[in-house]
Amino acid sequence: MTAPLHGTTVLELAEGVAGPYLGEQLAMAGADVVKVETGAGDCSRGWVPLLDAGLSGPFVALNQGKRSIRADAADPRLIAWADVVITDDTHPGAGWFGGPQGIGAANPRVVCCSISGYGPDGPAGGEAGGDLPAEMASGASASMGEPGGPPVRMPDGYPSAVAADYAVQAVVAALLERETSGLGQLVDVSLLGAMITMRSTLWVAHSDPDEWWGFHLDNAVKRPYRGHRTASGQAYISVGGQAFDDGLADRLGIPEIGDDLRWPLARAEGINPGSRHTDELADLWVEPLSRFTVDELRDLLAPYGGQVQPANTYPELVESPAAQAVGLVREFDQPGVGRVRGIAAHWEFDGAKPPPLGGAPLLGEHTEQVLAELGGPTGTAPDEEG
Amino acid sequence: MAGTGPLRGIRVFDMTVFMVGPWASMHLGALGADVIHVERPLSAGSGIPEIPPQVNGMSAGYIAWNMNKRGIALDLKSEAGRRRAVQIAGQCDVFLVNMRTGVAERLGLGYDELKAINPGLVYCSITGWGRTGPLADEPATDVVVQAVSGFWSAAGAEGAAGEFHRHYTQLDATTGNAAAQAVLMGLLARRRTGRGTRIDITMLQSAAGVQALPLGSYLATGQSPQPSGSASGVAAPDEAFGCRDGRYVGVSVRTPGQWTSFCAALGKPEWEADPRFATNADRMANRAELRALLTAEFAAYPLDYWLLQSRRHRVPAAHPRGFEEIRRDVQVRDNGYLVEMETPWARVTTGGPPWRFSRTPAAWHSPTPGIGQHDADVDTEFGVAASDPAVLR
Repeated sequence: MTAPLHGTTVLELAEGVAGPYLGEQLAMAGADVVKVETGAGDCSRGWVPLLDAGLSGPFVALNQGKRSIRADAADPRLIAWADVVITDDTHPGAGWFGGPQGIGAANPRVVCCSISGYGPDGPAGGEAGGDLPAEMASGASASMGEPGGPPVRMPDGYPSAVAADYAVQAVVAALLERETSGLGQLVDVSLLGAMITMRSTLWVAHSDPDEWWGFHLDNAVKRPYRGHRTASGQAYISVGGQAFDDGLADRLGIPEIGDDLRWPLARAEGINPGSRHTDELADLWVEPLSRFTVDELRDLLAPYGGQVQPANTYPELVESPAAQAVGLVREFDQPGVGRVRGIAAHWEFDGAKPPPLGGAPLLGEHTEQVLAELGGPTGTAPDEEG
Repeated sequence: MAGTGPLRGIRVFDMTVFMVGPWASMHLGALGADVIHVERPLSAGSGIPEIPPQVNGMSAGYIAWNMNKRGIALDLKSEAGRRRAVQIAGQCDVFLVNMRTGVAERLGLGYDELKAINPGLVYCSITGWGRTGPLADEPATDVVVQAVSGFWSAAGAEGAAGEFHRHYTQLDATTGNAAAQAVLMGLLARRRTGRGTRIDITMLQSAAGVQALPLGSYLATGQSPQPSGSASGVAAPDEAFGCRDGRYVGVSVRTPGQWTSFCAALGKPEWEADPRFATNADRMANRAELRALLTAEFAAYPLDYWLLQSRRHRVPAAHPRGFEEIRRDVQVRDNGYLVEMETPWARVTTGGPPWRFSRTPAAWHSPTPGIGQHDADVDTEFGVAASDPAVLR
């Protein structure tokens, strides 16, 4: 299949994580994405860690396959050129062209996607958002860390990435509708809204306060789950309690477990990270499981329908057979650096991932090229002309 | 039934179970597609109602994941049931399945079979680990994918082992979101080329995608993030601080402008150009020093002071909230982020649409159907003969 967004033009007036990750996904799907940067460029160019050449790892991770133009004022030809415009609440060009409303008025065919922290309406409409604030405001922080203890963050950038995923849906759905109506529209996605939608299961379950317990539910009162320590690292381990009667206790070297006062509970629950009794049973398994490697435990538990998977670090993930089976990592040429690794697209069409992207652009690398495509540099900055 | 969203006129045959697939189709339904969700009949042993926790006898999960659809009951173990599935799916635009690899093919509902009768079909198959490879037959649940994908390794208390996100549906939903993206792309490509497509989605690759920032940075630089409490690994100050009243405030400074504003909010404008803190790279290099100074500053005033100061100076900030506070939040209400739906089991609160469309509004428009609730309507519309209701339902 041809790349689904082949021929679609995208103007990115956004920085940080959410808007750029939306733009990068559209580029992965075949779109021609032009990133507009002002001054020193996208704030993520100043983030760490760095590549050897001094380039920001986060910037390279979120801006592959785009062109960058440096512009310090609005050029209306960019709006006429674009099928899609991405805006956010911190990019210096957020108010250019009269904001999303003005962009839509200037080009009725454009799909303008606005990403914000808290949504367009309400008392916090227009306030600047961020990942950690979105985790806290949406309740997600209750699912991390010790109950009542200091907050613990989810993997960095998670709310922004979720918002970007939703923004991809919104943009492509609006483009599809435009095929019929000939008209674009404004679409809004916020970090707060995206995070609340992601917790829908909890919300429904909480609708009945008498049924508040369950593995989707009791996270706010449970201790952190860190898996079990094995001889080859932390691992997720689960197996039904019947297994201990059927010989697993002997094979794990704990035949005396039946003497423990908690045995009736342990036998009923098994090793079960989703159990409400996980905490009180945990130390029954800590030492016995730590004597075996993940592979040994997998073989031990398999006959009982148990499951053992390593809790990988990123280096372990990349080397894992599981990652290699899905083609999780791809390589690309990063100008000035050479071959660099990135995350492959999460869609396969007709048995193949979309073709690989080029690297992330240097600041303003494509200014002249893009202006030439628009008809030359004249008129690029109306205030300079005047 | 299908709402006013941008997918009006699109029909989806949703042969998915549990969460990942139903989550994808629920969103397609909110976008305006007519989604026909298939469940095994209760009489044939559907275990769906028993998945805990429950709301008045139905799994809260089933209720939460199947809004915006019509429901039919279909026993794929019977020949009549399979005929009925093929007849309906043959007239749909989209086919979604998340059964184990090979099951749909054995049932005569593989891509090749359906493509032969419906060449424009967008066929989306969702698996945990891919259709081949060492884990192809392993079950994939959210918590296991968190383990394998490294999702936990980058989160946790500073110096501790990584910890899991305890609301075990984040990567299920992430995978469903990726599937919905791909279906929309497949429909757009079909509109332009006239051809359908087969889509494959895996939980593992979707889990990698939602870690675009930390995993992408690791792949590019070779430097792996470590558990660091509430602190970001890419920018500073971007973490939580204890306030005078013992509550926490999370602040996120990610742009040069926000650093300027943050210094103003603290009443410390002289810190802005302090060579230890002038750029993000400086602040990351001197983070321990910065943290010590900020810890003392934040401890001097209560949470409400910092929330007001942050708002006044446009510094991103918030505090950890629980359900009751979120439920009553005017910001959440005004933007429609929570909705109430009258389902066959109870009136429930759930997350609303994550997107807003100015011209073709999408909405959570229909409550979760009972299993088989729309059998008769769907059969009539799709011309399925009511030959043997006992077998079919």
